[in-house]
Amino acid sequence: MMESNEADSWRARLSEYLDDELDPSERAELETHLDGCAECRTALEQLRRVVTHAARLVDAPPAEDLWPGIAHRIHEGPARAGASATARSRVLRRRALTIGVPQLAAAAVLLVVLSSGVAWQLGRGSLSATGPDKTAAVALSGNTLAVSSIATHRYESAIAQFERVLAEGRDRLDTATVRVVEANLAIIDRAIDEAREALATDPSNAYLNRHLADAMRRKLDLLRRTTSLTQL
Amino acid sequence: MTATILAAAFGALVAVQQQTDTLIAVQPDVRVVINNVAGDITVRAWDQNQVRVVAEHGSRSHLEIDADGNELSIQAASEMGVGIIDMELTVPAGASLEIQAPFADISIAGTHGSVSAQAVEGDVSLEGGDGVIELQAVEGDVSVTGASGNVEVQSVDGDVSLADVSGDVQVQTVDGDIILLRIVSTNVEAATVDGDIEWDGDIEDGGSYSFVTHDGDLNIAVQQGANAQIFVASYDADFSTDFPDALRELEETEAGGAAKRRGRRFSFELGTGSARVELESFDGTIDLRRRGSL
Repeated sequence: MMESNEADSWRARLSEYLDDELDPSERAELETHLDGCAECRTALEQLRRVVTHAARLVDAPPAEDLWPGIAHRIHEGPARAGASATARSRVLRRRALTIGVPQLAAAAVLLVVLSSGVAWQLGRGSLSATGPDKTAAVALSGNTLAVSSIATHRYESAIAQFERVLAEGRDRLDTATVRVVEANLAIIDRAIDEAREALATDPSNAYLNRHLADAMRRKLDLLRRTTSLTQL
Repeated sequence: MTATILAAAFGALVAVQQQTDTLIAVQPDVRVVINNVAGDITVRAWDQNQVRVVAEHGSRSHLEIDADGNELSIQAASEMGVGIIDMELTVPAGASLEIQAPFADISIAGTHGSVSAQAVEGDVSLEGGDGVIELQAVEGDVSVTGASGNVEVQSVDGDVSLADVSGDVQVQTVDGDIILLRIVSTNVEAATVDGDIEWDGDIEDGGSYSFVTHDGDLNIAVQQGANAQIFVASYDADFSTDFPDALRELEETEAGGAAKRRGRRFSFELGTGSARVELESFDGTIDLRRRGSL
């Protein structure tokens, strides 16, 4: 029990560790703890991954011509609508990540979305903790599920818009190409459906939430690529 | 009217097959940009500061070749809209290439520069290349051997295979397998939706490796002394391994545990755990083996 409490207290400070905000003695103490605590090492790795993803967020919009307009409409939301994507990216990169372990899985879901430029308005404020978790791979909080749900909704919205644009431009594509793309979209749709079905039985599964978001991102990517082909 | 149509048809039938064969002096690090709608493109390297273009085409098709600074542009053109031109280019070994050919197979060998190649219906193969390597196909296989640098490969309906490649590697396809052999890299991401992923290579200390499929198997063979934290995630996949340390750790963490795990997330360490390896299959098998035992 004592070990568990110690782990909890250190785990809550991992973000400070990554941000180099611990004093030398605390840092050394935490590193000693990390040597003997696999859970905290795993949590640290996940947090590091989150930070790495955040750092990779680029200010430049995708080169695809249609994307800025669609992205703009996606970004028009009730929350923080005034801030520009650039500013958000900069803030996200510079801001010390003070989220703790319970939010890591949530952040991973969010980053999948952010990486695709879909939901800038989903800020850290959406990621409040609802309770302590023992590892980063365990249950997502209710708020996280809300984030995941919003992300999914925004993917669906972006996908629908690309599908409309693609439908208008499909005459400019070779019929064989259209067949191939449609067959592969169907494959991704199957993956999305299966991930959704799995989530229905285990809604708090972090892997399934991320897997669903990944599948939707792949569909969006394929639609974007195909749309760009209509402009060749 | 009928006569006009017949004349046009006859004209098309008797269009004489022509050959273009020309030499252009260039810098050794010339950038060669090729646009061709249909017709195969073959690029080979030589040690001369010239580009040789050999093309077979009808009399109504031709090549537009423009030099601008250190860039050489080769564009297929036709009076009839779409010309089918097979091209064979020989370029300086240090040339970099940018090729866009929607309905063509693209084959490149021997160059040392960066390569960008995009096909829609066609295969892309590259032997060599250094720097930024970006290859895309929609309906076609992509293969890369002997490249180094930052290698990014995308297909949709096709397999992707990389061998003897060094540097950062990002590979994805939708309906296809991914084969990665003898890759020297600390940063590898491979993802497919409906396909298998095979990896046979070393895991470098401090590296990051991600292998993700939805409906497929992961067959991962790494060296005996690999130092890696292995993260496994699945919904309905079986996991198996023959690493003794992994087996021991798995058995310790679950009563009655065995080499196989089904439908969950877990992690374990090999050696010092220096590298990070993610293995994810929603619905397939995940097999982590010591090299040579697959």
